[in-house]
Amino acid sequence: MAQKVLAPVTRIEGHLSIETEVDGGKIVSARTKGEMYRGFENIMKGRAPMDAARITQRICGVCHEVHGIAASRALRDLYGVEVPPNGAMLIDLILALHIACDHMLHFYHLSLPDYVDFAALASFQGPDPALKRVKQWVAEKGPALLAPKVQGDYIAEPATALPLLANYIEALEMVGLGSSALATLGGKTPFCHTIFPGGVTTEITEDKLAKISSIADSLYSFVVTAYIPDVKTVCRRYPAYFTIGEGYHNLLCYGGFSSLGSPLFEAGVIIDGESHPFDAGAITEDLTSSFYKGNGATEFRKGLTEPEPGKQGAYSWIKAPRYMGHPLETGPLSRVYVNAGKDDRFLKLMEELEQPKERAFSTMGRHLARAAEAAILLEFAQQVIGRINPDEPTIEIVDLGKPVSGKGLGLSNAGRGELLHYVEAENGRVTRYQCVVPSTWNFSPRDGAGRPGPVERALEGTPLEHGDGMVEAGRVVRSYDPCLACSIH
Amino acid sequence: MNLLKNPMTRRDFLKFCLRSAAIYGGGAMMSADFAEAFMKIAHKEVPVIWLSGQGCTGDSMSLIYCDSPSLVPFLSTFVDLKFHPTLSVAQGGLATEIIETQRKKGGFVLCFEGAIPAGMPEACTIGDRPLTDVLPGMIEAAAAVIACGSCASYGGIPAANPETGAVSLARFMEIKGLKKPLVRLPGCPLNGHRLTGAVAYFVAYGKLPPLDDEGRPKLYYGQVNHDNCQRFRYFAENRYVMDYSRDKRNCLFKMGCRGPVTFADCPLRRWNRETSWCVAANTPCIGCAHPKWPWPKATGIYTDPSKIEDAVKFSDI
Repeated sequence: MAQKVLAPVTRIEGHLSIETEVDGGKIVSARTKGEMYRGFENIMKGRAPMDAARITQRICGVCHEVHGIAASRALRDLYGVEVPPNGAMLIDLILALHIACDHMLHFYHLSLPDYVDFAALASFQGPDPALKRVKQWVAEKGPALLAPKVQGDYIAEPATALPLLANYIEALEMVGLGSSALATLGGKTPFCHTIFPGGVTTEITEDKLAKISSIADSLYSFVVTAYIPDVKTVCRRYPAYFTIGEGYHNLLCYGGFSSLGSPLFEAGVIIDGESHPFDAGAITEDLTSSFYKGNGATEFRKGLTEPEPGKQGAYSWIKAPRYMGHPLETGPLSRVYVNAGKDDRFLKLMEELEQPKERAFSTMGRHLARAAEAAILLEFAQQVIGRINPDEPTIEIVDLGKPVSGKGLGLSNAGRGELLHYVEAENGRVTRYQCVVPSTWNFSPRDGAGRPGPVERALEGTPLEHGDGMVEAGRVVRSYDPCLACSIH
Repeated sequence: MNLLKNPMTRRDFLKFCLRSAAIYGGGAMMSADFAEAFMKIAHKEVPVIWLSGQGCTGDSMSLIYCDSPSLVPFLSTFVDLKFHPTLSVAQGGLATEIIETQRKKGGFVLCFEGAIPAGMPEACTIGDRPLTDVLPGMIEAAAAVIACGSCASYGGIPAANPETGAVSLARFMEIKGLKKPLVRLPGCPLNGHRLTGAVAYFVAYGKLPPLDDEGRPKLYYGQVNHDNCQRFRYFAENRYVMDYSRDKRNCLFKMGCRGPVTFADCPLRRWNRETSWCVAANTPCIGCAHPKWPWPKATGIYTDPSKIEDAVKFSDI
């Protein structure tokens, strides 16, 4: 039994390392270690509840709109404010555009370098000026950002690699374009400041809607003509990754995008392949392996966050959320899989790749689900744009002078899975703030019963055939789109 | 081009920097004070190491969204980005090796995002080493350091929590007795052009751009947002937004706008392809580039508009 470590994991958000035990060329056990703590829940204590919409928004700058929206939903519950239809649609629109762009960034810029060798650019002969420039850059200077890579089985033949690399560059343009649509609605991004508990402050006009619609169109074209085909190319090239990175067959979906009436995604939980209705009351957080005072599991509403670095037996700053004691995976896969009856395009993609449904629980299954969801969300965004009425109000205001007391729960979605914010306040001051974040679920450490977190389990069985660089472990880990700032917060 | 007589647009400026860099290779336009540091940089692209502490990667995302210039032209023309936690192809030991090799070579610009947990080293590690151990050596070896965003510049949100003793890069350097040319680019996050522009200046002239007393480039932080606000006129006329739903045009001062005290260029250069900024989207400036961001608990970020008096007293005029 040998120990192998991947530290730091790059091309993710934040500070993560992976410790593994390897036997017979395979990982037999793994530990995911979250390595950075700021304490957002404690920062919120004693502050005005409204501050949560701006402060917790900054838990993460990659999934930069999700926490502001989840916080505004929790505050809406706390203040008892009704959001007008336009406001709900605008918030869904911001979330849909943001998540679709987040998925592109994840595939092309964070994940693709695990599969494609940038050196292939040296053989580029075509007229594309952007590629020419990058070719010159790579050939003449061997940029340190792109050149050194760990040993691995990369796509190096130009016929396959070049179109993927061209889309790596095009996807940068796409996310930039998407950011402009978000700024139209939110003033700026990362972190739209127009989102309040009662809706969105922005003046909505036809020209703005037309601009956003045009951008959503460009993004959608890119998703169907580049992103989905490129994911399929990688899937075909690496069929083994439909079995590597399997993990538990446990999924969590809160549902969401309900502003048009019936929700785009229905809530649901899958445990060991069996469907269950979702109940927020079943969520606990376990502190056994985390650097906080206390042990065992507590209902998420009652959780405490008191740092204890160096705690005996602990190895991560991430808490361990569990659902009726089970570690659940959450992400685009959980949303599209739970809702496959409503929209079967993910399963159709699996079929096209001749993969049975159960292989959805895999490294490639997650990439494919993410790409399918990007298309679903952009179609939804266009529907929303068509329904927004510029003559109707966008926001119901909250009386900030009100010494509000009570509780508020915000269930929401993020690119990386399902997101929960919970607030308690007394006399206009926050007394408790709790976030249970997608990467908290996925990258959770072992719980009191010794059950590994979802990514820890998914790493078990991963073959390490290309040396100590652990290219294979990186692929499995990145299929969950790790966001460490989120997971610890 | 005569820089004094002809006011340049940002695009002109960047073109100018690019041309200067190509003509002079960064060498001929050096000023004496930073000549030594600059001589360590062997070629025109400045080697850059990007590290992150207690941060959120929002400043990196802002750079990714930037179009002045876009990321690839920026990286292939202005700088030689040796390492970035979110973009580097390398991972694990290879990544730490790249950082270590550059540290030994020196002569790079260190871009740092996030705060530093000076009171609890375990609260941020890179690989298996606490950030507080890694960072001093990197700062010592760097030619200059750039604090990217409000956390690195002033402590930001992490510093609002005493648990980890989070501090800004400047404060950390002070604690450790480290002296290096420091540029502060506050903003939560910074707007990408503030970084690309500052770096373009460095590449073109071989020295840091003109900075204010706090180390902020005057070009981007020389005035408060209020000075250039499109709604300034309504402020002067005491016409205020009191209800976001009914009013989309007036001054946001009574909603708690921090534009009058926040040095930044948001209304001038706007965000995300010059699309918009907070006030243009009818939401107050929250002062995310202000040293006091995220503001004390007692005052909070927003205000109750009914409790704020008119800002302009006509009796005083």
